[in-house]
Amino acid sequence: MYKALIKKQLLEMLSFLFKDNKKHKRRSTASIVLLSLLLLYSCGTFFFLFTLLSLAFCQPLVSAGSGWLYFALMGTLATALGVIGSVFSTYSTLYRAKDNELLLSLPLPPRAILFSRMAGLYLFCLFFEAMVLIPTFAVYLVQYFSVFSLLAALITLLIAPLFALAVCCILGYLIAIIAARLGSRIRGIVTMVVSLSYILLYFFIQSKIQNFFQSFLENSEELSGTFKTFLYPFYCMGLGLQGDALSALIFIAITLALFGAVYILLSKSFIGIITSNRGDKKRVYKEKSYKTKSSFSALLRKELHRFTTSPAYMLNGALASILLIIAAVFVLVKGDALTSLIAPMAQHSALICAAAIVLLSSMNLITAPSISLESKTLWLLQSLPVSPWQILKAKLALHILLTAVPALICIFCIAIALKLDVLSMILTILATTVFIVLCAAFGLILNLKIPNLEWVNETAAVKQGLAVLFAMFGGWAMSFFLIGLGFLLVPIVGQTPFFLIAIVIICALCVVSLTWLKAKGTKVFMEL
Amino acid sequence: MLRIEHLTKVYGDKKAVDDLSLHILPGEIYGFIGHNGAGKTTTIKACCGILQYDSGEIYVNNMSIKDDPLACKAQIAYIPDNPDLYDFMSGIQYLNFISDIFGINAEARKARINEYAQAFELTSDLAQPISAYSHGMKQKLAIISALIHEPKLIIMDEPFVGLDPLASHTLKQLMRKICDAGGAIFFSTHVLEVAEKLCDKVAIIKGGKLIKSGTMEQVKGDTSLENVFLELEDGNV
Repeated sequence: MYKALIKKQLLEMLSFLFKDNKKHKRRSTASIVLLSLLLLYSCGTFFFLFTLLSLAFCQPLVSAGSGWLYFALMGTLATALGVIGSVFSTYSTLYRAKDNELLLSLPLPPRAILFSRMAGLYLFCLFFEAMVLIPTFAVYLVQYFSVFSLLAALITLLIAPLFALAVCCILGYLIAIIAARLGSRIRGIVTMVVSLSYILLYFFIQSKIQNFFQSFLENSEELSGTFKTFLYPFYCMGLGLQGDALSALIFIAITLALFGAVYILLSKSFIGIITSNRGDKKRVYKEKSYKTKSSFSALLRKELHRFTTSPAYMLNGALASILLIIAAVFVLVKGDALTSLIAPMAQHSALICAAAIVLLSSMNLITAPSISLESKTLWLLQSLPVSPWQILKAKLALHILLTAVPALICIFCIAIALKLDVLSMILTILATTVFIVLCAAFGLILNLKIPNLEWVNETAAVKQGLAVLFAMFGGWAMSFFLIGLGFLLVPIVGQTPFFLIAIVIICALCVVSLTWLKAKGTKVFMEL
Repeated sequence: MLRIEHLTKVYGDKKAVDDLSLHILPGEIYGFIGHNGAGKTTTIKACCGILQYDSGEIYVNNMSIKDDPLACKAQIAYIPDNPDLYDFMSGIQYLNFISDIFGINAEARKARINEYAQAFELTSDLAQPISAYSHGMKQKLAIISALIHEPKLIIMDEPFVGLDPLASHTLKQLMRKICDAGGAIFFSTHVLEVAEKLCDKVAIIKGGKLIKSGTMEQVKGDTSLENVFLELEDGNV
């Protein structure tokens, strides 16, 4: 029973790799190899970054007799990454999965369903933690190899994700408890606010992490005391990996106890949480005056409605919009700091501004999952008397509106702070706007070609779809290509001509993409 | 109103619909029956312009669904077997969305929403999110949204599934009313008693092929529709 459930969970998690959801058949070997290579590339990038970090901290800390601090630091980082990487999936996988009711109707104890779901989430956490812990252990073992250290590293690699999983489950549990007591609209807002706070906290820590590590190196004596007090499990983990067997056992015991407590708590309340829906008060219908809209406005409003009622879609699709607004406020408040920062390249300030906004806006992925999200309601759009091009245009319009408006606000704020001239500002606005149109079209093309219409929970469509992955990497690739081109051409042709060249290139790509969408994309949509 | 000529749809090696021809006239309630997997839903989806077909032709009011899909769809209302609607909208938001797509003015929309929501006892639930609706309520909402633009042709796939007896009765009355006013209805059903009482004409499909069609009297003769269906299913065509 457990084996079958875990197998189902793994198949669900890996289905994107092996199954073509558009053609409802297995992917070709070439396609699987290509996707695997892309995943390996993504993992390789993380491995590389954390190897650099390990190389920077391992030798100095071990030589100073604070080897445990090296492991404790990296262990904390690994757990943070594990939690960040898995927390969004935990709530949806444990409590919001579409097949919860189906599984509950089968003769299965709820704890078995919970166990299989947690097994899948454990692999998620292991995946994220391994990207930090493997370089951490590898760098250490290359310099200070011992059989004990190797064994301790392997055990830690398997045990540590349970700690992150327990934290994820607690956070997911809290969200589920709140969600079960709130109405759907408030539930969406609460989820959004909690998740957004979490992301902002993550970025805050990220921005401070370099100083944090620096101060650790400088004041390791003082700070290790703080570590022992507030992050005791990681202190034990560090000591354990340095050869202290008792500390290793304490770390394992704390982790298993925490995980065990969480598992028992969840298995007792699992069925109650996933079947409760107490908070949705019945809203009484009061007749209001009806306002008519054009069919395009209705389609756009529908897209906006879907977007604003899905915290997962908002957070994953429009994170850049939030960051652009934060950047705009930051620039207004700390304009002087920005001016002094780019003072050496002041003559190219418009270009730097455009590069930053292009890079940020490429992170918005609103169109990339928009076809997948139609899923079982696809019949509706296909049966209504609206042209497929209108439907696709509404999806493009939402992406463009939600990205271009914050981008324009940001540009205006930067223009004020950096005192950009009118021509530079107009060129920046033009370049970023056409780039946003290109990203919107690119995401939509990808989702038409590789839709995921058979998701079990919405997060899978929004976060784990291949179109989203390719759109993200493609957006970054296009941004870096333009930035690189700028570095090459600006010294030769100057800023303004480069802007014009870039705008022409992006416009040409936009025309090609939009023409494809109108001619071929509409047919693909109707044949889905 | 709806003319299906030599319709063929192939999935891989399997012919889901094989050279099917039907003609539904204004004023007719046309029943479409067959076992599971016989090709009913494929035919219905092709008629609504949702599914591309391999050969043949479908005309709605003498317009080809292939050549002018939007004009055809503007005259059709389609109710699928499983009403998956926009869960992120409330009932009234959904009805307004459909009204906007069909370009219904505020006055007509108000009158029709009131009329049909009352008829299906859904008025008090219109402000509720669709995600909170039961299957039957979603079915009622799908029916109201289908009727809201006063379609000339209604195509329904198992419309009575999930409806309570009162809503079923209301739907049957509305179907008759629409056809009496010159509209046409083409629907699939497994409830042969309903088909027998309600339909003017009936078509029986098996393995994608039309095996019998005509007026109810022509098809069932002196026996019941159920007996005819069972005999045909046994292979005594």
